[in-house]
Amino acid sequence: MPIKLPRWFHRFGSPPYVYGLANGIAPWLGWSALALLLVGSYWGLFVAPSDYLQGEVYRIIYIHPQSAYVGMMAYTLMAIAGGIGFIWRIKLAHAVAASVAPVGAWFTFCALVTGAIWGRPTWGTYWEWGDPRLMFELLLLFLFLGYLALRAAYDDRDKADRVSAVLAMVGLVNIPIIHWSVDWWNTLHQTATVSNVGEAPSMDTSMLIPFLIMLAGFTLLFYWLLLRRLQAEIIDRERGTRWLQGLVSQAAR
Amino acid sequence: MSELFYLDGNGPYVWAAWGITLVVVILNVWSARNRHRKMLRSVTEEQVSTDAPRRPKVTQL
Repeated sequence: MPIKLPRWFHRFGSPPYVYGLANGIAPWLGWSALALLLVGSYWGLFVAPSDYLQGEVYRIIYIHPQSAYVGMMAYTLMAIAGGIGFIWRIKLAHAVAASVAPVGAWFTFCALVTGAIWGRPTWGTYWEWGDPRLMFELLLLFLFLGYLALRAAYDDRDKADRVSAVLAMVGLVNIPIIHWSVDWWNTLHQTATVSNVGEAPSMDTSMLIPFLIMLAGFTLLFYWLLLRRLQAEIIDRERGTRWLQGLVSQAAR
Repeated sequence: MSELFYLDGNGPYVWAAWGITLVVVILNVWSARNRHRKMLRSVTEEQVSTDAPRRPKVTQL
């Protein structure tokens, strides 16, 4: 029996509605993200005390986990949007998935590079091929790149949407593996510091506050990027429609 | 000031990581804005070209 979506949900399938909504929300997200990132960066780099064990190099903690978190959140969103588009044939859901992919790929790349840089002074190596966390994070980057390549390989957009959605959904299994890899296997990578389910964060408040500010800043930045990319994707998909022509004429006046 | 860049000898690692992140963020912001503007511009141009035949032509006498 097919699952029925609530009525309000259908509004999110309307390109003009979502385009207008994005126009209203994006500036708030963008400016809030900028403010949070500036405050968090200053706090993390210049105010937070140095770590008793790692010294000053620990300050990479204010960008590395945040990038990894955005990458994983982006993939989850991409797979869910792809799944909604695949099952309920909502084209806008495919547009969301297509807009998320490049952002997720960049932040996953960022997480891998900053992690490697952090690894050199703390583990004595930039990269360890046998480490599950590192391997599955690299797999995440390949999944994003594979998704983008698959989309680019098809001239027919509908086909590209459906095929890439399948890849996104299959790859979703990688997300819990990345998260719990540090608990399931003995790895070089440390276990979770903040996201321990049912436990208080094992980080001092003076370090935790800028960490959370940066996390919020990265999250808002991600959604701002998503909305701007989604707007571009909507325009590309809606060429020739009356509402878009009206929008363009209005902007030209 | 030099202490700030030195960071107990870990300055190159910390600043390299932050620098790369900053570049990735700036690239993403620029790319998202640019793509949105480019799409709007291309649709505007398309509309101008489709509207053009409807406008009365000015012929030189």
